[in-house]
Amino acid sequence: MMKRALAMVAFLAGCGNSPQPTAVHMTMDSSSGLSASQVGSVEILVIGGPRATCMRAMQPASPLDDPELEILMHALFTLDGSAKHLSGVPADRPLVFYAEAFQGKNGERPRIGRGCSEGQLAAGSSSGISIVITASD
Amino acid sequence: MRIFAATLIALTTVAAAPSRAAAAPPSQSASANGNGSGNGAALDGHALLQRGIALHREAAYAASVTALELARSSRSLAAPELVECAFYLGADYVALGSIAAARRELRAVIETDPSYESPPYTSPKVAVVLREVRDELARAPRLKALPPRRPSRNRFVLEFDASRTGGEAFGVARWRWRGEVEWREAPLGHDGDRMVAPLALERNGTVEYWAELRAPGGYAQTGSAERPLELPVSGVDPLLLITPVARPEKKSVLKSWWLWSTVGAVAVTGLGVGLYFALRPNPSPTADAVLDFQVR
Repeated sequence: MMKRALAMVAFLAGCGNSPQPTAVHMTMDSSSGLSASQVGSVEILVIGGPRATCMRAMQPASPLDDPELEILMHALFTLDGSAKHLSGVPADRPLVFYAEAFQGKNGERPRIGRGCSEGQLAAGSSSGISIVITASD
Repeated sequence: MRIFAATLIALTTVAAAPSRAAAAPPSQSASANGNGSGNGAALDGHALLQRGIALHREAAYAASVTALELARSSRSLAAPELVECAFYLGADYVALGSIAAARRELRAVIETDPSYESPPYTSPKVAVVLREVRDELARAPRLKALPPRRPSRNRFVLEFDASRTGGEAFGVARWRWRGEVEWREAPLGHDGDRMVAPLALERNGTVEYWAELRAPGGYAQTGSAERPLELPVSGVDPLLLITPVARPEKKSVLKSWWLWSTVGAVAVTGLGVGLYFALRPNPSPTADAVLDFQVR
């Protein structure tokens, strides 16, 4: 009863815990020489864990080689110009969205580019994540 | 989307195998070639296994899973190849983050070949899960089949040695006559250190059986529905099993054990369901992401 009263007072005072907008920022910029027509498919790894950052994910040849990075989700998208939808992403925690681009439609190796974004999604929301893919070294 | 990708990859995988039409799915190409009636009968399991391993090494884990599952379903792999197939499936699932599936596959590897050593350059993540599974199995209960006893002409006792149970164990032996489809159940009882299941047999033939056990220390099984143990039976006298029919006794329903057992079971189940919903933790929150790729 006491908790409910406190929650109501906090809400009336404008302190309600409304969903926060998603904070997403891109980590790469400038042209690398890779064009959209070259990319046939993109593999996405959603990475979590206390040490998950784009800097760390981009360090090894693949984040899968880093045992301290926790792979939460994995998906392969065929790139056709439209935005892709990924549901069931863990919310309310910092996440890393790591992307690898391939020339073929089925993710055949070798990789031709990659990119990464960090962000946190609000529970129950649908938020945009923008990932800039540049040519691999 | 994943299913779509997997299907595409499956097609390319099968197309890469020899003696099949390039663009047809496995079942279609099997019937078109007339190489067999089953879905996996015409698949070249060995080629698919090598393809799956190659895809794993190229880090194409989802495609590797598809190829390895097809290889296994072809039923043409020898025992060592099945172990290798299960290992790479486990490694794929580790990379894809499906740890429960990975543990299931790696458990099969260690159960089949307890001294299995992972290949060189195995990912550290896979090595960790494999070590955990190995430790788990080393502590898990064991159920070992002993030679069955025959106390009388028509009665047999299936005997099992249960160890590392960590407390009181319960189990069941499932048996059938060779050629039958349905399994019958015989509960496992305790007989000293052993667990036993008595059988009253009415004819001669071969009994197929396997047993499973649950204990505080975990689950154990000996034999399986696919690879049952065998008990050849001869010298049974069918007349010995004829028993006099007892005259049914009229009893009040209120005095019947089953009524109160049912009432009790319903009450306990209701209480359990109520407690489950009352005490279960809230599911982790999730959200949807709309991914926009920009290529530069």
